[in-house]
Amino acid sequence: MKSPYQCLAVDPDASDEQIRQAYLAKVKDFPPERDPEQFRIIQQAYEQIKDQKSRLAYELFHVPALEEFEQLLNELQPRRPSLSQFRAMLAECLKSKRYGN
Amino acid sequence: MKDHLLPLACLAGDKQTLKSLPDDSPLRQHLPHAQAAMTAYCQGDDEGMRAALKQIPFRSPYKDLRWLLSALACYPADPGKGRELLNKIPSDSPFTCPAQVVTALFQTPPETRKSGVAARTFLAAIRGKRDQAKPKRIFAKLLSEAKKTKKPTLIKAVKDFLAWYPQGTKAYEKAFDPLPEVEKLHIQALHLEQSAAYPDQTYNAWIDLGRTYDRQGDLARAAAVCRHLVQLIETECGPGDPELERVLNNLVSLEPGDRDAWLKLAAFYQHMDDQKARGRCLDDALKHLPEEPRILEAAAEAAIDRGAFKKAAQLTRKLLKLDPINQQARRRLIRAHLNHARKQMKRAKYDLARKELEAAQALAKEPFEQAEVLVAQGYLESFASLMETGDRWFDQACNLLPVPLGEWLVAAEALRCQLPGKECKRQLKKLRLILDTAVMRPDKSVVPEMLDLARQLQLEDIDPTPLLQAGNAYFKKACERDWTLAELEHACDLLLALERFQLVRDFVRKSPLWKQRPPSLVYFDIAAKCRGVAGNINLSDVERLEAALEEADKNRMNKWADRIFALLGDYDRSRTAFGAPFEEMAEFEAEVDKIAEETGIPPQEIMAQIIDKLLGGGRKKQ
Repeated sequence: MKSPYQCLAVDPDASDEQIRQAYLAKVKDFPPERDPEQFRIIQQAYEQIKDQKSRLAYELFHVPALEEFEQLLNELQPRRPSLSQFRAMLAECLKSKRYGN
Repeated sequence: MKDHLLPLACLAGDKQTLKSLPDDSPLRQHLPHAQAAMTAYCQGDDEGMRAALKQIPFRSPYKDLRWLLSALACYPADPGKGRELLNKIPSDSPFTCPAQVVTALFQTPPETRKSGVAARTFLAAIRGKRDQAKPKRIFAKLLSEAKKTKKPTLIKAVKDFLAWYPQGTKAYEKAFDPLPEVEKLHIQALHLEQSAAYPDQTYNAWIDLGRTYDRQGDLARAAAVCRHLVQLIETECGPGDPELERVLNNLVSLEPGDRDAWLKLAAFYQHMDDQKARGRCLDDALKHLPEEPRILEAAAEAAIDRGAFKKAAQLTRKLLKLDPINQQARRRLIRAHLNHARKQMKRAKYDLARKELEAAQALAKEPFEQAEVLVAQGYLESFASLMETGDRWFDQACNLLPVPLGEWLVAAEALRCQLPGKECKRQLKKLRLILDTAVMRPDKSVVPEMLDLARQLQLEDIDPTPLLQAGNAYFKKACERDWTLAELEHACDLLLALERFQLVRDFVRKSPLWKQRPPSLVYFDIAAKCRGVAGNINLSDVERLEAALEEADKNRMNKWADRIFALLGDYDRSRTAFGAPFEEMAEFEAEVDKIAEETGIPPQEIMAQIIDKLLGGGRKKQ
């Protein structure tokens, strides 16, 4: 569950200009043609905190979805497959490579 | 087995491959490190995994396992980095196929249909069960983690979660700090909005919060709550709700620099057709934001709408100083000068009118704008009884524009200036003469401009019928030209607004595009057929509209879907069995109450007797 501040790597008390600079730097790192999904996330984060009005609206009216809280829990206690499940997946890949899909 | 697949076979635990590996092969030598990394990953020991991966040499056949496992460890925290790491695996690597499986983890929405059973099981083990999230369970887990680690981000997450689960407020306060009253109100409002409670309940909760912020002197937050309330009202009640005016007025008093709030308030008054309040509101806005282009624009537009052309010109000049290349503002200024000149002409103040026209002339750049000013100058000279000079201006204007647009403009201006009948007829006769020749070869490009002019007259409450009657044959012939769909839609839109229903149908049905039945053309055809009255639509047309709506939805033609939907809505309303009996009903009930008071019979009994009599029967006596 990343806040837009974390997403753009800025302090919550950063100025409009600092946020803009961080946004431009991130866009440079993830241009839309290379990573459209990440670009969308960066853009959305910027829209949420780009000026005082947006930041206030984010603070007062943004409620993360239930799935985001679940994801946070997953991050705290990461789920992992068993070794045999991992091996089975690799064996399946091997089979598909050998005999075609 | 192909050699390049051997690393995969070793890691999958293929016994035959493992047996056949020579002792000095890198595949055998590096296998323990690769297996250790896999095991560490599966046990959730990311540090151990990284240490084991470092042991794998750079040229090892297992080298791409580093990218695969590192990407897997990024889930779910950093999908961007995960994807980036997976992209580092070359296309000829044995790990391409596992990388494709893992890619599914970072896709939104997740795509697993193409994977095999083992791949799906592997992904499901990482993602966890996708059962319905239960707020109570999530809250308990979050709270216990936050209590354990005392991390500020986690404590904040628990507080944020109270909007989903306000029942946890006491537990939160017990574990951490007590929440101030304003925070509790905030949580309550968020929870009500989240749980789709009654709109009034949610609305009141936000009002309470806004008032509390206001009392505490936190005007920025109070204003933010007002902005949110505006959104709620607009969604729930539409743009004409009286509460909107109250909240917007409150918002601009809390934050006078909120440009959008002023514009919304002005738009509200425009919607309510209260031009005075609209002008007053924009004047107030200009006191706080004197150099805001959008406010200047809106104020100039409002001034034109209420006939204050001098003020409109003043405001637009100011706007052009701030934004000299604003073409819209330039056109608006020309319009203001022209309208002001017309006003002065009607008052016989010809010198003032001439000054206004000179100002318009200085701004006019495009041929149509120049022609408009020339035509107005022509009429000014006509009014000033210099008819010959007037005709010279008209000829100059017509030379600037393609035939018959210039003559159309002259005739339109004659209607606008409300010339005496004889003069007006003279101009219309001249137009007809030109159109009689032009009809042989109609110019498609001038039709929208001709219709636009007629529409402008209509919007100024001037009847454009004489002009449209003169152009009827020309338009009828023009509809046979090869129109694109967008051009056709624009022309039909204008014709429909001008109530030239037969022409709309001619334009639609004579177009080769009609064969494909695009939703927009079906809409225009039926809207014209029913002559703008939805009650005239018959059942087969309803079916055609429904099919067009489906087609528009399918092809995401939202504009046409909305218009067709609105027409069908009008049709449904026109079919309602009873009109609006409520006003009469109130009178009727008052009468029944009066009788009940006089006779002592219960009102329900009186009502039942009346209904029986109306139905021609009477109540059976027991």
